[in-house]
Amino acid sequence: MSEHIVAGVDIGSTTAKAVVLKDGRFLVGRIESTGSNPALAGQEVLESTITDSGYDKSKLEYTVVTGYGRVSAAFADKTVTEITCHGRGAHFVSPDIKTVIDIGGQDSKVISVDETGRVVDFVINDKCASGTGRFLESAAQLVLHVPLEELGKLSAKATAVCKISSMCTVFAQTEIISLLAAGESKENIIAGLHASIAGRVGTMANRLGVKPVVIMTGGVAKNSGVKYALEQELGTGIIVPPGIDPQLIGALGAALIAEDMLKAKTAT
Amino acid sequence: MNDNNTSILLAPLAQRIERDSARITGARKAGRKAVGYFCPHVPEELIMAADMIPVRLAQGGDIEAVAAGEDYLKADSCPYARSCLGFRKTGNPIYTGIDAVCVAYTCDCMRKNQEYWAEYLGVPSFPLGITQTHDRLRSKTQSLEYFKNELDLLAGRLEGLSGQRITGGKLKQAIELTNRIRDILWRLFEYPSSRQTPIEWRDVFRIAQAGFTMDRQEYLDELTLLNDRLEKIDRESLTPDSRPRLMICGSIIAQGDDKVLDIVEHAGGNIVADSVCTGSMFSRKRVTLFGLVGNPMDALAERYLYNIPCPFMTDLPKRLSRIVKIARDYHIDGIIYYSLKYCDTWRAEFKAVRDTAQKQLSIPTLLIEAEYSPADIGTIKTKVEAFIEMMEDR
Repeated sequence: MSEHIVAGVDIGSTTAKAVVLKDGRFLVGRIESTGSNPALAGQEVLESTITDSGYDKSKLEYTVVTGYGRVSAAFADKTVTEITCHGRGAHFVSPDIKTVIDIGGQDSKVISVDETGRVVDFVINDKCASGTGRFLESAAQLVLHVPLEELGKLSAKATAVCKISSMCTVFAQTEIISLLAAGESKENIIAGLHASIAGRVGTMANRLGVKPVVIMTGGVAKNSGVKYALEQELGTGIIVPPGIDPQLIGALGAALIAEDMLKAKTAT
Repeated sequence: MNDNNTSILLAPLAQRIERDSARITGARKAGRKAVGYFCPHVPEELIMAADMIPVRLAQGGDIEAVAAGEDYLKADSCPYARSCLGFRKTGNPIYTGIDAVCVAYTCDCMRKNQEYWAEYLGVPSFPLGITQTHDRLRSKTQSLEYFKNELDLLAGRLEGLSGQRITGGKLKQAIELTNRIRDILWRLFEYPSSRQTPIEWRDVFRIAQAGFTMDRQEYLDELTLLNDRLEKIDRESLTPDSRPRLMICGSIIAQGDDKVLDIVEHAGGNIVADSVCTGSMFSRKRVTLFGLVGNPMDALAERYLYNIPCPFMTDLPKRLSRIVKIARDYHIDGIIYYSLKYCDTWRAEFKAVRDTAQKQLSIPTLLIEAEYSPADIGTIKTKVEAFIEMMEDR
């Protein structure tokens, strides 16, 4: 086979991500909003990522699609769950990791991997939005009127951590309004939100057993405040993917699996 | 298993319900009574010996029935328990075509079910109490005495309903028939322990469920026919199945509750064994009659008290050792633990099963908590697919 590229696409609830690899090496990745048509969002982010890579579309040999939108992606050569992809992608960027904590827009998961990056066990939060990006997003935007990107920085300035006891995203907003009315600072409330997420995800992680090294992936990994709160909760340091956006790890894993599939296909 | 001869046993649920309810209605018009029962602790032999038609009530997976049951039980009680009352309200022909129910006290919701069938649905409803410490040395004897007394009371109530005496002879006859059914069912559940099986677990499970509403003699005849044919298949000639081997354990998988089983099947998983009360748990172990002098009521009590491994009244070590044994005998790669949402009995046991599977068998356990509504299909799919990917990777 002549020159070729492979791609991984991760269609999440909030964002669609794509990664293009060439000879097993990361070329380029992209993050777009999912909108209301997950399959189309996946197709579009894939096409623009290929354009970014500088290769022609015809060079694309294999595409693996993951994320909740995988089921409707007709352009996929294969679909793989985000659990397997996050394990694989995280292991690729940091081969020492044993635990992956992925906090996305709609769910959060804790994944145990072995020394080869193979998933050995996992838990997904599926009760509701508590412990997910959505929980933060709704509180930040609807009640606190703070941009998502600022949360980490603001929580570092907290002088105390407010206790936010509602697991429910909607009730938590009510609780925040009461805290604001009582004169609590935004910073302390945000630190409380982070502690709440860390508490939820920490319980899940402890159920599985947390083995270091722990890596955080997904959009919420960009929030240094949640990372800090989780480190406190778990009593261990947490790394974020070096040199790549943590939101791209699922798509990266999918692309690595695409490379494997292509190799297996060419071998036979 | 695609054969015309097995069409009754493997027919779709709706078709079987139609057929069986027509039969029961006919028999009732001719003067016989039909008695429904919940939970496998109720000896159907007693109903048969009182000359009535036993019907195991174990349907589920129907959101209308769940909603109808919400009038009686709270919205966050298990959807199966809610449907047990709901199906009578929604006019399910099996649930409306019975003259009485027997309900074993197997959890808080089923206890209330027993009382509400009488109180709100106006149907004669007979309780069956079970002790929870009967496996422990110092309460074994007293537990058995208690359970025998419960069975005597139930027998009396059944006699009152039918107007027929339960004689030792009739009871022995019923026990023998039921034992023969159990022997074959158990044999069927054993086939998938081999990678070369003439029948898959899912079909055996369907067949076990088909028996809940069928005439007992007809069921035995059908089972015998089927098994004779299976015995003749040269198993060495079958292609070994290489898919990951799974065991399903947990809450009741009611008739019509196919969601999780379908998802596993589509994801490429192969369930080969179960510890589920509508599956192998129901058909396990025959009733042992001791010669001509043995009292059949004692034999029934022994079997029904000690051999239904429901976590509500079975000690954890016994539960776990059974699960470990099945996992070893069937060469299981992973356990799917199915807990109906809000079913405390099974959900509470999960941790111990998971830890034991990891420590003693080095196999993973996946927890699936589900309701009957289709809302959670997406998440369950992701979990099951990831679980199977994990095993295929090995």
